[in-house]
Amino acid sequence: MVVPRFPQLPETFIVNKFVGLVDAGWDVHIVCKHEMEKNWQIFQPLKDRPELRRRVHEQWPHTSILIVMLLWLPAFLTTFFKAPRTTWQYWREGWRQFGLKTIKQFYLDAAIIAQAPDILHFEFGTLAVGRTYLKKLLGCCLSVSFRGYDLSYAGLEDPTYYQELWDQVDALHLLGNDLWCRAQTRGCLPDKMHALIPPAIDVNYFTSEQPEREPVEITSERPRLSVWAV
Amino acid sequence: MTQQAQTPLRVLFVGVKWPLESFLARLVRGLADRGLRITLAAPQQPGSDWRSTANVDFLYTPGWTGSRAERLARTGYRLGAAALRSPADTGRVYREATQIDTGLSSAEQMYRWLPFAGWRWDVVYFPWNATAITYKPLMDRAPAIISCRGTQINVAPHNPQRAALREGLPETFAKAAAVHCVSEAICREATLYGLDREKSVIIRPAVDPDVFTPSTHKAVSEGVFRLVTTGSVIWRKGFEYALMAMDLLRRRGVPAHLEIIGTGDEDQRLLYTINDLGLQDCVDWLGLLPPAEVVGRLQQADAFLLPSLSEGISNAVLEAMACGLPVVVSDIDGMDEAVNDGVEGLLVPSRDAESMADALAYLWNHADERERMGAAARARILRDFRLDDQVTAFEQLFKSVV
Repeated sequence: MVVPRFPQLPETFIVNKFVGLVDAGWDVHIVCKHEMEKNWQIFQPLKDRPELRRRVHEQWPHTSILIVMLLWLPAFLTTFFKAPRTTWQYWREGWRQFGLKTIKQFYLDAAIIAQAPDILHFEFGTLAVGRTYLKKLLGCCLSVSFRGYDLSYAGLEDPTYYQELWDQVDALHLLGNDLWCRAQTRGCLPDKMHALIPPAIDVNYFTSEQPEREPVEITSERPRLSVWAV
Repeated sequence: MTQQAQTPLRVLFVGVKWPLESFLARLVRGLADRGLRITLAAPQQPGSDWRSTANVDFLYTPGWTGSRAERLARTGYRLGAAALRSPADTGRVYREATQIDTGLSSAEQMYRWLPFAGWRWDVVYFPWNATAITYKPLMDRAPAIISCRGTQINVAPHNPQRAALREGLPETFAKAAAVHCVSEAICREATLYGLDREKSVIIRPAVDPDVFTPSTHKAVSEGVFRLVTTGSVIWRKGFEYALMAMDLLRRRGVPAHLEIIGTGDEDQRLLYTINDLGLQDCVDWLGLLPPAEVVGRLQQADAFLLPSLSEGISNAVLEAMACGLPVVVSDIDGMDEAVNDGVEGLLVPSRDAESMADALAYLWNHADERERMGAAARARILRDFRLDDQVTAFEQLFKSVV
C-alpha cells in the first residue's frame, strides 16, 4: 500500500484498513514518504501492536542530490539483498524502458521494490499517476483506491491525466457509485474490474449513548444549537 | 524657476513585487515620464524590461526567508552595508527595531528596515496598508502617503489572523501626511479604522483609453453571446456565482459562452465547478494571458461580467468599459462609482446568480441596449477614468505633501 504519510490523523481509514488486512492474514506492507512516528501512539490499534512498525517502510530520502549520491549504493545493496529477483527484473525491464534514467528511478522506487509485492496498491488515484510503469517492472498487479478529490477535481486541466492509469490498472476501489461514474466520465472503460466499498466506522467507538451528559437547560428564548463538522 | 522645481521629486514606493501589478506599472511609468524620480523597493530583482527605464531606480529588499544561518548572514551583510552608508541611520534602525512593535520579531524588523538606512527620499509611498505597518519607521523620515485599495480595508481587518493589520491601521493613518483611497466607499470604510476624512484624497483607478480601445472589426458572433471576465481566481472574485449564472442561462436557452482569464489559489475549485455543472462546452478557462491578448479577448466579447464579492473599484471593469463593452457588475463597495445602473451596464446584487443571469439575458435579448451601454461605458472612461488624469492627480498629491 502506497501512501504519502503514515499514520496520519485525517486518514484513520488507512490505519484501519492496514490493521484489518493484517488481521485477516494478508501480508501487507506500507510504503510512505514519511513515517509519522509521533502519531503512532495516537492510534490505539497501532499503539498496542508495535510489531506492525516492521511493516511500514519509508522511501529513501531524496531531499538533496548529495544525500541521494551518498545513499544510492546502500539503497541498491539493501534492496538487492531483500528482493534479488524483483531487483533484477526491475533493472532488466527498467533499462529497456528508461535507459540511464533507471539509476534515478530505482532510488525513488527502492522501498517498493524491496517488498517484491504481488499487488501494488495506491491509496489515492493521484499517487499512481506517472508510476504505472511499476506494474511491468515489478511484475505485479496494480490496484488503486479513488476517494473523492482524485476524481472530482485533480488533473481536470488535462483530459489525459488518468489515461495511462486506466490502461494499466488491474482493479479499482471506489467509495461509491458517483465516483465510479466520474471515473468513466474521465475515460475509464465500463468493463474495468472495480469494487465499490464505502467508508466504514467502528460503531462501538462512535456511539450515541452518552449517559454522563446532563439534560440541556434552555436559558434564553433562542437556545444555541452547536453543529459540528469534521 | 525655483530650486525645488529643478530638482526632481524623489518618491520611494515601498513593498512592491515583481512583476508589478498592471495598474501600478502604469502609474510608475506615468510618473517617471513626468520627471519624478521613483525608487521601487521590492523583494525580487526587476524584470529586464524595467532595468533601463528612465527615472526609475530599484532597491533590492529580499524577504526574511531561508534557514536561521542564512538569515543571520544576510542580516550581518545588511548591517555592514548600512553602517558604511550611514552609521547614524543604522543606529537609529537598530533602536527602532528593538523598540517598535509591528507584530514581527526585532531581528526581522531590523533586517527589513536596514536597506533603507542612509538613503533619502522626498515622499514615501505605501501602495498597500500592510506595507505601511511593516515599514512604519519610514513614515518618520519623509512625508508618507498610504493607499487604501480594497481588500486590506474591506476584508482583512475582519480576519482574526490579521489582528496586526487591524491594530496598525489607526497609527499609520495618523502618521500619514495623506491617504489615497480608490473610491468613496473605501474611504468611508477606512474611517472606521481611524482615517481622518480631511487627510483622504480620492483618486479612482484609471486605464489608458489608447490601449484599451473598442474593436474596429469585431468578428460576427454567429448566435453566440460572448462573455468575458478577468481576475485572480480567488474567493473574492466570486467566479462560482458567474458559473451558476451560466448554468441558469444555459437552462433558459441563452447561447452564452464565457471566457475566464486569470489564475490563482482556487484554480481547482473553478475547474471542479465547471465540470460539476457540466459547463465545459460554454465556459473556457484561459489562465493567465499577456496584456495584449487580454485586450483582444475584450474587444471580441459582447459583454463583461464581474461577479466579485469585494473590490475597491475594479480595474478589470474599467478596462472592459474602455473597450466599449457593457458590463454586468456586482453592486459592491465602490463599483457604483464607476457604473451607473442602466447607463454603462447593469448592477446586480452580489452572490445572486439568478439576478446575474437575468441581467445577462436582458443584454442578450437587447442588442441595441448593449450597443448603447457599451458606447456610454467608453464615454465614461474618457470622461472620468483616464490614466493621464490619474497620473496628474498622483503627481499633485506627492507634491502637495512635500
